[in-house]
Parts: sequence; C-alpha cells; structure tokens
Amino acid sequence: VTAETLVGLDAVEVNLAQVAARADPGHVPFEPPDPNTVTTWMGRDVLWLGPDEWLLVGELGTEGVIVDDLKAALAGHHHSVIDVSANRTVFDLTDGLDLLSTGCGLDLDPRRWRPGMCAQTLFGGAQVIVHQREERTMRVFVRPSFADHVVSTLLAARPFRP
Amino acid sequence: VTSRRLPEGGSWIDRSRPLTFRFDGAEYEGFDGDTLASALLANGVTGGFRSPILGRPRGVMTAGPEEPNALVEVSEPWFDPIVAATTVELVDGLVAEPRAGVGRQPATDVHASRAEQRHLHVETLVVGGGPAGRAAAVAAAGRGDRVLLVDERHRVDDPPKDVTVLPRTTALGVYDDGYVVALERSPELERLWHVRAGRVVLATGAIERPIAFAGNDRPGVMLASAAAAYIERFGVLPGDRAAILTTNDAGRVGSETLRRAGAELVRTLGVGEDPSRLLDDLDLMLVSGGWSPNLTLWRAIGGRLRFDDTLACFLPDGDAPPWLEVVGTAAGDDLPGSEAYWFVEADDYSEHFVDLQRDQTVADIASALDAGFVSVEHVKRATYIGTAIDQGRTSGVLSAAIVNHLLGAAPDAQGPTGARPPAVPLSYAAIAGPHRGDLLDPIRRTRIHPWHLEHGAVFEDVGQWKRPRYLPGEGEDMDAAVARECLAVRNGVGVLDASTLGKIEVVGPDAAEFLDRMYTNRMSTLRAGSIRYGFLLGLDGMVADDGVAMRLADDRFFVTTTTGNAAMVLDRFEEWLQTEWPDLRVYCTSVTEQWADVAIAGPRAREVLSAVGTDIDLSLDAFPFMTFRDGEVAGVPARVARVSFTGELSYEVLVDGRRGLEVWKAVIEAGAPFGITPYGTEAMHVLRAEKGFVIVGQDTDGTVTPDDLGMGWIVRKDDSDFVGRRSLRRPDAQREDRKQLVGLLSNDLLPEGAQLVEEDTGRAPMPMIGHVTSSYLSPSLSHPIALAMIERGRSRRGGTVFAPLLERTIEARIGDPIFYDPEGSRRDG
Repeated sequence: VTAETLVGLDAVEVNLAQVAARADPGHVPFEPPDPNTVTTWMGRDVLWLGPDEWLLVGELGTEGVIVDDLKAALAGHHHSVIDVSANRTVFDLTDGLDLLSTGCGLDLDPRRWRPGMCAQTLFGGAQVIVHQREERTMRVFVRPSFADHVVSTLLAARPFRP
Repeated sequence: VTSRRLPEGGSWIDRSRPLTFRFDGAEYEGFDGDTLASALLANGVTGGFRSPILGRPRGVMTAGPEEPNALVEVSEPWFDPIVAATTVELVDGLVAEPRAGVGRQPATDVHASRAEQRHLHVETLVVGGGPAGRAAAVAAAGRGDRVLLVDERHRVDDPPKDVTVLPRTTALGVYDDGYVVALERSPELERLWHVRAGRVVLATGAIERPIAFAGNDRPGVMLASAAAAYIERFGVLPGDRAAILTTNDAGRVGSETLRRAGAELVRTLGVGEDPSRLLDDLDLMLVSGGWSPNLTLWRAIGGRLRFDDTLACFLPDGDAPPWLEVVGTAAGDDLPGSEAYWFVEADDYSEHFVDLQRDQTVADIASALDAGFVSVEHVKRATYIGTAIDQGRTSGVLSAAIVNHLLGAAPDAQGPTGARPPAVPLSYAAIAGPHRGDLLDPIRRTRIHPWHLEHGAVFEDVGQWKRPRYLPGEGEDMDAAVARECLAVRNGVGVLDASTLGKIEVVGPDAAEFLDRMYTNRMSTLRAGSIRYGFLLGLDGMVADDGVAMRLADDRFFVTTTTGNAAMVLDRFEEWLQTEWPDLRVYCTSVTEQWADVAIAGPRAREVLSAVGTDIDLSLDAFPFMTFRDGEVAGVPARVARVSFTGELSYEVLVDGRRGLEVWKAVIEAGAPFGITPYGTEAMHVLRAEKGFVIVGQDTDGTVTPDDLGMGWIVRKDDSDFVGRRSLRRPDAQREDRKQLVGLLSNDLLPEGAQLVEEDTGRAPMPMIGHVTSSYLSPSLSHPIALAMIERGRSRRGGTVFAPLLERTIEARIGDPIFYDPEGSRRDG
C-alpha cells in the first residue's frame, strides 16, 4: 500500500499499537464490549473480536505499555497478551464506505451499522477487521500481505447510486 | 417498409429522444425507452429471425424475457453473444444481428460490459414490479422496512416511494433464509447482487401461454398480451389485419386494445377452431392459451405446484418458509378463468411447435412418448424442450400438459420439469465480477517483496503467496540461477525470505499438554529456548503438516507451519480446543505477519550474522542447533533460531514485520564481502531434497504416515494420546507393502510424477510400484537425484526400478533419501 494509492481512495495509512488479548471476560480490566462493538479503555480502543478475544488499539509506541498494563491486570488468571502491531496494516477510509459493499457481505447500511461497531469479515476474499470510528470514517485492518489486494479491489470498485 | 409506430401513445418511450441503431446491416431509428424488439416492430421488421434447427422464418412473439424467437448478438456499444431482443434496451449506436439459437465466440476482442458485484441487506425484497409487487413494496416500506424491488424489464411503472427500485434486474435464484442472487444488466454494466432479505416476496407475474397449431411459429403469430404491450408501452401496432385464438377473457381484452389502436380484427377463434388456414390472409395472429404463473424461483427452492382446473394452470402449493411469499398473478390472483386447451387437433402435428427455440413440436413429444419416455423429465431430455436460452418459459407448462394429454392422464398428473438457478443465463464475467486478472484471487506479498521485485526475482505461487523462485543474474536461465544459488549456500552463504511461514503463539498453562496432543512427538519436554521439529497428523493418521515449536516460556510456545497450511493449522488448533478439549487453558493467536523471517544459510552464515551486528553470542556452545535466542540484529530486536532446511549452518532471523525489509537489506549489505547470495524456493527445494527433507504436500499426498517417510522416530511410543494415533494402529497403516520414501539415483533426470515399475516389459500394463515425488539435478553432487514413494521401498535399497516414459525408459538405483552429508556434519558450520 502506498500513499498514492490510498489518496485515490481518500484514505490514510495509520501506524498504531495493536495488542491481541485473550482472557475470560470476567477478568479483563476493561468493560468487555458487546459483540461487534468497540469500547475504550484508558484512551485505547477495545475491539470485540470474539467472546474471549479483543484487539486493543492505541497510539504507535504504546504497545509495550498496553501489554504491560494488561498483563499486570490479568496476573493470576489464564490469559494471552501479544503485541501484534505489525500483524495488520491499518487505513482510515473516509466517505466511500459504500465501496466496501462491493466485496463485503456485512450489512454496512448506516441505518444498521453505526459508529462504534466493528467486525472481522472478508473483503474481496481477504480477511479484514472493520471499525467504524466516525460517521464518515471506517478504519480497516488488513494483513500487510493482503493490503495491495484490498486496496486495488477498492480502487476498482465504483459507488452505487440507485 | 412502413412505420408501425402509432401517432401517439407509448408510456415507456420518449419521442423527443430518437435513437439510431443497426440490425442485420440496416440502419433504423427508434426512441429512448424502446426495446430492440419494439423498435424493430416499429420499423416494420416483423420477421427477421430464423429457427435454430429447421431454419424456419421467425418473428417477435413476446414482449419480455420469455421470448423464444427474436435472439440477437449485440456487438456495439457492448458485446453479448446471444440475448432476446425483447430484453435489449435500445441505446444510440446499438448494433445487433439475428442469431439462430446459438451464440458465437467473437473472433477478436470485444467490448465487454463492466462486471461488478454488490452486497445488500434489506428487510423486504420484492421480485417483480407489477401491481402486486409494487403494492407489497409500498406496504413493507410503510412498516419502516428497507425495501428492494427488482424487475427484469427496463422500466417499472409508477415506482413506489421509499423503495430502492432496480429495473433490468433478474433474480437468478432464491436460497435459504432469504439469500437472493440477482443480475442487473444494463448497457455497459453487469452487476451481480447478493441480497440478504428478511422476507422475500415473489411477485413474478404470469406468462401467457401459446397454443400449438400448424404454423404457430410463423412471423406474425404473437401472444395477445405482447401485442397489447407493444401498443400501450411503445406505441407500436404490430399488425393491421389480425385474428385471435383465445381460451379466456384476457385474450379478448388484448383484442380490444388492438381494435382501438386501429387494427382490423377479422376473426375471434375459440377452443376447437383451427387458425392455421387463416395465417396467409393476416399479418398478426394473436394467441392466448391462458396464463402460467411464473414460478421458476418458487420451484427452484423446492416449492410444490398444484393444478387449478378453473385457471388451467399450476399454482404454488403447500407452505412456504416463513420468509417467503408468492403474491399477485404469480399466486393465481386476478387471473382469468381459462379452458384447459393445449393444441389444435390435426392429422399432422409436425408443425405444431411447442418449444420454438428448440424447434420441437407436438409430433416430437408424441415420438418421445412412443419411444417409452413417459416422464416429463425424460421427454425433456429426449427432445431438449425447455433447455434453451429461454429455459422453457413459454413451453414448460405447455409440454407437460401435452404429455399428460397424450398419455390420457389428468392435467395434474405431471407438472413442468424442475427448475434450478440461474433463472436466466448469466455470463462468467458477471460471476467473476472484479475478480479477474490480478484480482482473481488475493495475491499475498511479503514485506520484503519490493526488494525481490527490484532485483528481478522470478516468482512462483505458494498458496496465495508470491515467493521468489529464483533470482537470475544477467543472461542466466533458471537452471543456471538455481545451480548458482545452491552452490552459494553449500560453499558460502545464501539468504532466503522465509516470512511466509505460518506462525502461531500458543499460550496458557496447558499449552504444552495441548501441543503434545496435536503433535506426534513430545513438546512438553522441550526446555525454554529450545526448538523441536514436529508432525501434525490428520485423524486418519496421515501427515497433514510439519513445522517447529519454539518454547518461549513454560506456558508459551511459538509454532511454525508450512506456508500453505497456516490457516488450516490454526483452524485445527481452534477446532480441537473449542469442541473437544474446552477444559484446556490454551489461547492461540496467529502472528504470521507480525514477524518477517530472514533465513541466512551456509558455512559462512555465522560470519555474516556477526558482520550484520548482533548482541547474541553465536558460538556453538552458547547457541547450539535447535535453539533460539532473543537479542538484537542490525539494531533491531530479533528472535534468532538455529534451524536448518538446507543441512547447512542456518540462522532464521525473525524481526518485527515492519522492519523486515530494513534487516534484509542490512544482511545483504553486511554479507556482500562474503558473497551472500539471495536464493529462492527452487534452490531451497533442491537443497532440502539433497538432505532428504520432505515437503508436506509434495512428497506427501494425504496418504502418507510418518513411518512411510522413514520418520517413525518422530512418533512417540508411550501410552499418551495424540491426534491420529489410533489410526496409525489400523492394519492398513501397518501394512508391510506400504509405499515408503526412498532416494533414486539415475543418469537422466526423472520427471516428477513418473510412475515406477520393477521390470520394464516394454508392454503396458505393467504393475506400478511407486512414483517420483521430487526430482532435481543436484548442483553439489553434479548428478540427478530424486525422492520417490515405492512399495516396500526400504527393503529394495540397492535394487533398481524403471520409469517407462513415452520416448524412453529411465533406470534408477534405489537408496537412502539422504544424498548429501548423511552424517549431518555441516549443520554447525
């Protein structure tokens, strides 16, 4: 993914701290988000990925702190906390969210899909995590190896207006 | 040719916007809103087509997608090899030619329509934009539903408000729980819709039925409703001098429209009257044999039918699933009563056409019945009725009724043949959508890929990954490049991008116990800092994947998988944890792309790694084979593992993926004085084959046990269980004559996949005892080597086998699969 291709999409690549956390939801220090939603904990986004699986997202460089905070809070309980900041490339797609419906089977209609929601899904055959941060902005997490494919597929898509 | 366009009228056309088009070489004019068929009729082209088998003249018979005659190839402004003119929306510059039933592969590149796909979720999907469909859509929108209404025609009258209306869109199939696939076809665009609907309303209408009589396929014979449609929608009078054969009142309504438009209606015929002798004296013969609800989608999802005597047609029968409903004329509502009348009696039925697109007549059905085919499904296969592009929209019910009639059975004895999606033909381009060319399937690239590209790597596909296969120098072919790369690793040092290997962190108090159950050898006895190679078996005891486990801590392992099986292994781990062993406290996390993997291999690997700069003590005592150390390499935090897939001293340097390219470049630079040579997967394959290391999926094929590979040592013999253990005890898994991995030496290169025989009798068949799985010219040994799976292979060592090929036979000597450095003296450098 290059800055040039993302400009074609009105998107920007964002470098973030990402930490994969797995534990019993009764033991985590944050309020466990409802399925497919996002909460915040000490300024970090907590994305629900599964009943005992979350992705914590913070500012670049804070991954070590997030790992330490979580491990401290979960000490004594079975857990897995892993820095995965390099495991996914992230870009923020502004407007054109409708383009995602060319390759993603989720109901992304603004009447049903609102800011604060997230999901693990497929886009054009590649696994992605989508997180709607604001009314007009979707954050897309994609494994770096798939990033070119996802961006090229988005660039090839056209908006639909009935 | 006189114009048949009426001075006024035509609710679908815009007379202020004339369009020019070409058909069969001649230029014509039409209006915006016309179909190609209506514009042709307006220009007096009442024939213009031929039947596919008999070559009989044909003309437009219907006004919709049920059209069996008026098939065209569209070449401009887009290309469609064959499509009904009644469904082609007229655009300026359209070029079309008649096609007799069969499309043609274009000789040159054509202007393909753009193909897109789109997903949509609605509470209510309505299929069909007639009065009943529109009413259902309005009601659903009133409840606050998101509503999609699709209609296959290019105009929807009075489109309802607050409803997404898609004209030109045909529902191809309805699937469980309201999943509907629909094809939108407009000039220049094919768009495949994947619709998930809470409720599906089929308002697919009814299709007027023809009646078979002698010459009922002649130009000018038209469904009564079609004639009305041409007058009302397009302001086109399809004929001046008309007669009508009808079994119902609706046909009479059609004739009334005709009369008002100025045509002379010379006769009205009913049941028992034969119109065939009138045809020469008319230019329009209207037919209305009653109405058949259009239930293709209903039947395709398993809906049953019942015959209704009053309406003389099949209606939906039985309960629909709660999310599915049939309304309007498709359900029989508001259909006129009709007599059950299918064909005009005659002595000769050879011109009573039933399926015009297949040129099949009542006589052909009778002949199929005489031959003993009494099921409509068999009659369909004997005659091909219903198998053409129109999928029997006008012939399906008619042919079933005729079969019943000729067999003397009740009208409900047999219904029309089964229906399956897609309801209309669609192009492969529409199915593919954007997934063509480079987007056919995701192409995965490592973080180091830009360097490979820049340095002229030739890539190979490994699963979805592009991996460098070899990196040719100036003027080098593949053999030369691979030989150079192999020799560099054996005699100096090479570097490989191994980032594609699957990587999983397995964490928890029971992680060691879990891995013991998944792998055939013991991982629980591994000490922190150490590495063990392992086999993962399927439940059938066969080798499914291999990789290494690194123990990071008592409760923490880092497991690698083969490149192609990364997702499968994680799925398998999760499946066992979630379904069989939920009591085990283990979490698995994929970290494949968290890490880039730079593998430095060769006798000078230690020197290169020192030169790159590391705080890890690389001495043999401090850092022995099959251990790993965390530290820094080139100033980047790294995990360095001493594993080897080449037999040479090797360091796999794992770093944060984002810094992979940086570290790769640092290794290349620091390695330059040592002649470091980047190598690809082909050299890797040769090097590992020289050492007899198997590749799961190349030397194994899902029928191979560890013992077959001569690796029985990797299977623990104690009482503890692991996946596949029970299957290894089956008599079949212990047969003496199983194929076993051996090495082959020959003078000529054996082709991979070659079958092997004990004795070349020169005469096929010969009993085959095995096959070649891997074969290379070994640059280090300067002769061909091969791996093979051969029955009782180990007991044949020292013997010979033969590979009989088309042109010659290659003789090979059977030996151990380890060709190079069998003592393993090189792994420590």
